[in-house]
Amino acid sequence: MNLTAFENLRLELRRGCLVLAVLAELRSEGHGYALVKALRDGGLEIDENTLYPLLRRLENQGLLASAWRVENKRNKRFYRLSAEGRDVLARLLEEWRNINGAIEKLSETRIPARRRQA
Amino acid sequence: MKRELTNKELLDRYIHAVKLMLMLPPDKMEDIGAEVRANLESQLEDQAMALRRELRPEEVSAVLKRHGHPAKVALQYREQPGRALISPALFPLYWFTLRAVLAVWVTIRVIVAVFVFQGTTPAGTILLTLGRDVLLAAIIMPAGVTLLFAVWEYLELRFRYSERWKPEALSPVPPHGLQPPKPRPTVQIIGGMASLVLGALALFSSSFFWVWGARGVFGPSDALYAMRFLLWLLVFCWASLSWLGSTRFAASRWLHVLRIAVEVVGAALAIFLVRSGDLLVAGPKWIPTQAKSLATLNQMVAGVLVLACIVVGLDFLRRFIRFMRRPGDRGLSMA
Repeated sequence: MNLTAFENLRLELRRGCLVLAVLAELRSEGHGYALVKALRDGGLEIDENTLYPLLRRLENQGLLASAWRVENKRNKRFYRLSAEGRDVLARLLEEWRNINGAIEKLSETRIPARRRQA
Repeated sequence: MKRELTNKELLDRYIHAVKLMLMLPPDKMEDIGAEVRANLESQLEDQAMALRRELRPEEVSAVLKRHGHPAKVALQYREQPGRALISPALFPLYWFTLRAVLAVWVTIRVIVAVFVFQGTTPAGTILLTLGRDVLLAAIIMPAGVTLLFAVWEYLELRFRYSERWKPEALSPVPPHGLQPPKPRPTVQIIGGMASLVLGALALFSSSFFWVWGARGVFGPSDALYAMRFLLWLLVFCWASLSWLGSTRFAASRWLHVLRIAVEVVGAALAIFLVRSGDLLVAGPKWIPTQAKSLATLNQMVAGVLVLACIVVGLDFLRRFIRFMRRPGDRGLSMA
């Protein structure tokens, strides 16, 4: 099996999913480290050096809002979904369900049917 | 004995290094630095809680090491992560140009060295000079070509020329497809014989490729230095624009304007050189007593340059005739 090709495709696939997961998780406010842990607990491993710049980019795009606050005597930056972010998330989730449904259909229904015909 | 750094010192140094490598405005640097610090402090705190004790400096060092080199961390925070000086789209052309420029330069320099060797200069001196020049060229030329392409890349990023193309403006497919038609055998024979005759004349005739130019404006040797630069520049521009014609910029409106301008200048310069008076020799500064082989080389170089000018002029003429013949399309689509 071509492991490099698989790894590249897997990373490509995960990249888009991570944005969706981050947006979904930030429906409730949280700071970066807590988000890493939440994603990890949910089964999505993410490198901090990928997450923090991603949070900034999403904030620059207006999908997230952030504020510095003190928690446990430490200054932390808390992120939450903005109004625009909520709208984008809803549309992305719908898109995700459509893609997921299409992939399910394509991988489970059509190919065996074609094979049966062959 | 070297003092062991404390946990705080280790963290401070790491954050400082990240901030230095961000190369962003100070407020952004501070903001990102604070965020990286908050993240690392949380990690260290978690680890200390799991171990139920204060972390030792080597454990803090391990956490920082795992977090990644400051340069790697900083790179992720750049405004446009992974942006290259020369983008992948332009890189093949960049790489080709770089190799072509170096190959042409080295070839010319070696030919010059061979001709100089026939003179009175000792072989060792020639070889040393050749080695020095090749080394210098290996440094300077890639730098120059990279700079040119970086400027091109910047202009592309800023003005998005490549997004302005229209499918309608692409060149039509020639009737013979991608392969040019094979020349007839008679044309090949005549062409081959002409090359041999011209080559022989260039090598053995002392006056065949001498060019007249710039009477009253420059002396012969000054004219040489003034003109060869312009000529080379012109040939370079023409060749560059020809390459551009087969890239993604082929449909750019300003490319055609630039190409036409270069060709007009090329034609005018060729006419000027043919019509003017004093002797012009391209190559090293002309000294009447210098070796004959070097003089011949000068004449050959001059000949190549003038031929290039004539080709540019003829190419312009061909485009101009095509443009005049094209009914109802008098825009900027001369190419």
